[in-house]
Amino acid sequence: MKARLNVGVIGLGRLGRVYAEDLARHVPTANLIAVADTREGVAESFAGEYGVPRWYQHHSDLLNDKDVAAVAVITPTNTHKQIVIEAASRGKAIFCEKPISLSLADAEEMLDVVESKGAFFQMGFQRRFDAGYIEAKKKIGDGVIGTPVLISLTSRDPFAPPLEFCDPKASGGLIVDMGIHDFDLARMFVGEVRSVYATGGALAYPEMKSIGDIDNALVNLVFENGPLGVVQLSRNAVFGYDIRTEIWGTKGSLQIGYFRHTPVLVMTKEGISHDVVPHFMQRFEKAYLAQIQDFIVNVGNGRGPSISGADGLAALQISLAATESLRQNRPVTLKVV
Amino acid sequence: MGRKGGKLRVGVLGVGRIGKIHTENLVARVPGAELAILADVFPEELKTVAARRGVSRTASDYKDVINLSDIDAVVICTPTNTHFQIILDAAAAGKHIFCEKPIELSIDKIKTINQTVEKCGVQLMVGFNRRFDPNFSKLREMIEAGRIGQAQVLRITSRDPGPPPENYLRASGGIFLDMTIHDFDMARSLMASDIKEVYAKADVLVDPVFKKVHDWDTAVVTLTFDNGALGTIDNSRKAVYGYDQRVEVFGSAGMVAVKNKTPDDHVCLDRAGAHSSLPLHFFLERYAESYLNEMVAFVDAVKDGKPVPVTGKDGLMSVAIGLAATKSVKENRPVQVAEAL
Repeated sequence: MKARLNVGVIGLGRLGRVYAEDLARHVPTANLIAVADTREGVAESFAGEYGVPRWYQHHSDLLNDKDVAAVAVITPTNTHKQIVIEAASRGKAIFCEKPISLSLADAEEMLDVVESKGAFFQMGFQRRFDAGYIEAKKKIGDGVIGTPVLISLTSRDPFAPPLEFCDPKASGGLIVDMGIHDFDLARMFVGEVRSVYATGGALAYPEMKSIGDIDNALVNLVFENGPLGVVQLSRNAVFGYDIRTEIWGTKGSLQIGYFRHTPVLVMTKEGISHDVVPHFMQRFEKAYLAQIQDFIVNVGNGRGPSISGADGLAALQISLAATESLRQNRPVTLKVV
Repeated sequence: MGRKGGKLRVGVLGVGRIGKIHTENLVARVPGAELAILADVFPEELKTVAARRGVSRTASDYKDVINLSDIDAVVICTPTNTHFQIILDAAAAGKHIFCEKPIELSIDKIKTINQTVEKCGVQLMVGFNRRFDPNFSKLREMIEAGRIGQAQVLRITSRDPGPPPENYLRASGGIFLDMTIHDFDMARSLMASDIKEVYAKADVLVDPVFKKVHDWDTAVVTLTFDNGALGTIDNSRKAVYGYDQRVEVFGSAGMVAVKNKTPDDHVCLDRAGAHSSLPLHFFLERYAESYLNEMVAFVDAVKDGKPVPVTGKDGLMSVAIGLAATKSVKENRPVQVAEAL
């Protein structure tokens, strides 16, 4: 039995807290040794609550902590570059939440440093660790639906995050921040994307226009080897969290996703009804845990990353091409990076 | 109409696959109509259908039907390339017209058709039967009732179980004018808005016969509606599991969706999992009720002197969208529907 891996979490926002809590309580091979958050008192209060011995307000202080062997970077996307480069320079193993960055140049620079320092780097795309997506991938690998010819992916949030989060300058906007999950899955199931066409609008939240973003989008994909794809994105699924993927192949079709949260069906004079998955934690709680566990195991056992920096870069490239397509209202062919 | 018994007297022109359906419905299931005569250029087929359905009068030439003074309306089920002349002649003879989709493949000819029927004061209804399917009618009803607030995003999945014969494909006008045309009409009808712009990608991914006839078997179409709403349609000519006909409309207050209809609702569980029936195999089975409902709607509207529910404008717009989609694939750019009009 090896010693537990000393891990630090940088960023204790909505998602950072999820990972930090998982590492503190549910990953026996990890030792959550430090947390950092730029907001005054946040790291300290989390550390107090979860018994984390060290806390920092500045990420550099956590990265300078020689006892920290691995870090999870769960900060706003526009801060990833600086933190990842610093972490790689200090020889830390890195888990980086999606999207890798907001520009291809930044992502390439990050990955160059990671490579030159020989650092371990794993991207976070938790849907790949969901039982449904794992099973679907296996079935496709087994040839159950033949060769995929069309993929349709849907991602709908029940409500929009705060405007400052949606701001394309911080998150990349709807297509980058949200669509990137679907682009990653599309690559995993079908292959590399050759061209994209996107359309969309601020249909539900007019205030999105003030930050230059949209709340609903459609993205068409054409894959290298011919298959077609379509991604539907929305910030306003008032009924709940709607995450579905459907893949059609030459021998059949496969659907991933569901609406019903609890296994209760209610029948009354008014009709038949059931509840709906409320939000991402209820849907992907186990996937987040499986993903961070996988990171710890890969680092601990000297394995390669399950999702590489190149995967993060490729998904970002599709997102940026789709954003460009939306702005210019024309199909965009992806450049070879 | 002032007829004896108040029934609308109808002639069916063309007794092929779809003509047979309308014949059967008009003979037995449309209370307001009397099927007076059948016409077809193939005498054998005509004789067989007339005998089976107990229709005593037949004609080999459609003109012999539209010139009959005791006929009020014609139901045109002939090949698309014959629609234009038959409609003009029927309108000139003062007959009301039900015409199968697509009304015509040429925009100019459709415009002439629409002007002519207006001038002649006859009604023209286009056979977009899916509007009358109970599943899709329910969706439209709920959307109109405001159940999902403002409709924002439409998704139509429309897949055939297998491709039609090669000869049919050659004259079909291509996937967008033959198959997706139903989806374009459904999109306009459900979203209660015209379509402003189309971007389409299509390819031959499942059956090489489509390469031979210069058509496509798989397509994804992105729609932008006049009112700002968005939509996607995905089509396949060959879904091995059957006829896949689903629609979802997402709105500001919720979502409505319909699943495929199956011949029965059984579930069988075994060591390999849970299994149930495949969708109803093809359009004759899946849309049987819709063909009857649309004919009842046509007959009732004409009899009552009310506007028919699917008009020549609907016929025109669906073809314009189909032409715009075809252009979009060929030129790989979003195409304004206005460019095709």
